[in-house]
Amino acid sequence: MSTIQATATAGAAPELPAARSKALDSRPIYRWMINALFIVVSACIFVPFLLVVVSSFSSEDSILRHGYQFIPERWSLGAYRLVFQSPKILLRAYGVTIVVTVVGTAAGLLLTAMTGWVLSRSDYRFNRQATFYVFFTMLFGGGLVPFYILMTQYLHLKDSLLAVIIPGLLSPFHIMVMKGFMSKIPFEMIESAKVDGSSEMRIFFTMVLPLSTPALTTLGLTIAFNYWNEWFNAMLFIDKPNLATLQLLLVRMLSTIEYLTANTEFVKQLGIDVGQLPKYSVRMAMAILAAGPMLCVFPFFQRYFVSGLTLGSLKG
Amino acid sequence: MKRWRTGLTAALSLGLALAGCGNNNGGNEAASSAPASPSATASETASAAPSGTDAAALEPVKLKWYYVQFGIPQDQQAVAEAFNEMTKKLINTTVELVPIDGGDYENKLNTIVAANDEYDLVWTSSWLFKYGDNVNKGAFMEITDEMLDKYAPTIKASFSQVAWNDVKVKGKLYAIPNFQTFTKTPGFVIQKRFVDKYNFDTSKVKTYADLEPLLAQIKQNDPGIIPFAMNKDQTRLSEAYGMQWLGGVDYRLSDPLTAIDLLQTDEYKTHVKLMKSWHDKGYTNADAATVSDLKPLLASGNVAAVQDFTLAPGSEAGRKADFGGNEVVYVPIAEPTFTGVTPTMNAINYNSKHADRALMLLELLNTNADLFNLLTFGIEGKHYTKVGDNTIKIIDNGGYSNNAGWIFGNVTNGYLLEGQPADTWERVKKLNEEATVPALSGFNFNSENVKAEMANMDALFKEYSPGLETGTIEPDKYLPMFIEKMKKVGAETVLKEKQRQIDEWAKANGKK
Repeated sequence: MSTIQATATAGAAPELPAARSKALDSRPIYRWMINALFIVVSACIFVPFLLVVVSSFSSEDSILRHGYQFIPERWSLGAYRLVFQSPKILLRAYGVTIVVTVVGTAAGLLLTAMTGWVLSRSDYRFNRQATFYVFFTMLFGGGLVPFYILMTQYLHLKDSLLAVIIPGLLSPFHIMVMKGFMSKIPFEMIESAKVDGSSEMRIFFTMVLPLSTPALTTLGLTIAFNYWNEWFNAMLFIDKPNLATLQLLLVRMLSTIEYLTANTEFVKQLGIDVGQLPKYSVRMAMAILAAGPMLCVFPFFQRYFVSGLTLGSLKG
Repeated sequence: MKRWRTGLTAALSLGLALAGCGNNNGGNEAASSAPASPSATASETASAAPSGTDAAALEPVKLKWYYVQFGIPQDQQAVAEAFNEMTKKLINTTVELVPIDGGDYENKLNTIVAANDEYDLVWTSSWLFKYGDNVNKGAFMEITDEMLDKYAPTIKASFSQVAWNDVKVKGKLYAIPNFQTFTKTPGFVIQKRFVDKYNFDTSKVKTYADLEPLLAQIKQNDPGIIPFAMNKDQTRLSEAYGMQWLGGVDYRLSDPLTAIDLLQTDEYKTHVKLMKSWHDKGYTNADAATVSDLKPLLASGNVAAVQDFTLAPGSEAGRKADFGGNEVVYVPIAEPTFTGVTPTMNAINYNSKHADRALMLLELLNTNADLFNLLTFGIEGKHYTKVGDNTIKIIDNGGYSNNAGWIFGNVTNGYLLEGQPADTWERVKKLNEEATVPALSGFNFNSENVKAEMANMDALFKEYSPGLETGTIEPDKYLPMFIEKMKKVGAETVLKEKQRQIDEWAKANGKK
């Protein structure tokens, strides 16, 4: 759901001109132009999303007859009723996704912060080698098949939620951002803490982490999004239906429809009942249900997100 | 029970007769090459016995079977346990059933094959997790004639030589097809009430024009009824004009080895003109050129007739609901033709250690109806109830309702669903036996060399075809324009390429 991220950034964007409005006060025309630009950009992102919302509340019949419309002929809750008819699968997928997101984000943040902190320390002897080691994985990867073999044949992580959590824990990009942020923490502070007899662990948890709140919230949100939207690893490694993540359900549904409609000739021959496929409005309802929680959570993080973005830039 | 048994014996005896014929040429060769039997069987030959012998004589084996499901059933676990109980008893084998959702199947199985993951059986087809590609990759084990004779005689007998040849790649067999309807019969679907009302003789219908008297009467006397409904993607039934479309090419039935440019034929012109007249007379739905899904219109019960590419035997009852609860009759306009058995098959992993047992399992699913029905419909009383001798009713939300027998084996061994006529399976078998095999059966046009031309032609096709085929636009004006534009983007090059490939194919297959 990259839409959410996009909406989020765009939603935050109009605040920037507002903050700078003092300088532009004398020339209201510029302010209007900038506002207009961002209104257009926001609309481009918001309008399709609105269409998805409206379609999910449309009656199936009016979608079939007139296509997707902003004001449907007939409103209906039918799609949601259908989805919640057997809520077990959906609720379980919610549960799985929430567990994965919470555990993954917490563990991921801690690991990213720890790695970033070590790499930002100039008194770490293998600093350059370690940084290169992390950086190298940004450029070169093993590819899908070795990854799959490692996960299934050596780590035996098939049908385990760890297979969804572990690959997302550390991203070299996140480490680099974290390292960049932490290297701005005055080293003198750390030294004086050491002189006062503080251990490395204590320094990290009581000084470094609190000081890095902006970076932590920003990265935390990104990591959380990644986990929330995760489906590929789940697709590869999860066979048990009760461990499927929410997005995997969505992707499955869509690609199933794609396969069946692209091969109607065979499908008919085999007697697969195409009538059982989710209706158009149901697809949209599923999309809303998958994206909804993140939409609600985001405004609470937005404050930190913006300050996280700007704080880094001011320090430079 | 009795019915399938008689059906089975019939199939068996027929199969034996076929096998007898086949043995004349294949028997000697099989015998001579037996000592050098492929590595597949070598490892287990000692313990392996033909299916049907005492399970105790076989050593315990565990198989893993990946197959597709459209929606994983909730009660998979319970069914898998019951299934294993049976297979353990019958062939001392436990099977790890791994159903994969249709949406994930291609991606997941491709990765599994690439990573050389362990499994024994895998479902494959011509349209999803493609058989040909995977054979080329070397993912599947060759199934030799000896293996078939030894472990899967019933399966071998249930298919004709034509069907087996359809599965073979360069003369070698890499998968076991599942027996289901593998014919198609083009024709029309007409609401019974109109046929009865106007005393219409459907047996005389051989092409579109033959329908006209009926459509005219409906138009005149039944206001509010659309005599003939079409959608924008449908193209004419080639057979109505003595042609056929197969493997990507159009050709005349009288001269199957010559590709034709359909648009330039007189038949095409006649057809679009006929459609135009139907459109003008109001026989068809006015929005035919734009509507993509006819379902809602059909469901209103206000459509008298539609065309259909595959009139599956026994499905009339099911179509009733589509037509708003009105009974329909099928009007085939041509003999059923063989479409190939590759849409659903099971293959064996090339490095499976238990190929023999995997074959025995497939054979068992073809000989033991209880086992097949268990995997297809679940557990009696929990997932379905018996309503007749061999007819069942699936319990709604019972947790196992995919009715996916076509994945596991011979569907004619299974139960019938409520509403399907008792002789459905007999009719399926009969059709499969009687189906004519198109001369081009097995040919597939490869568009690699003319990709750009094909893309342009496809775009033009989408622009003009819906209007012409539904009679919405004037053929006298637009057909020449369409043909002209097609020529410009390379229709002739494509036709030549098609002909070249057909010639090559015909030569390689000894047709010319």
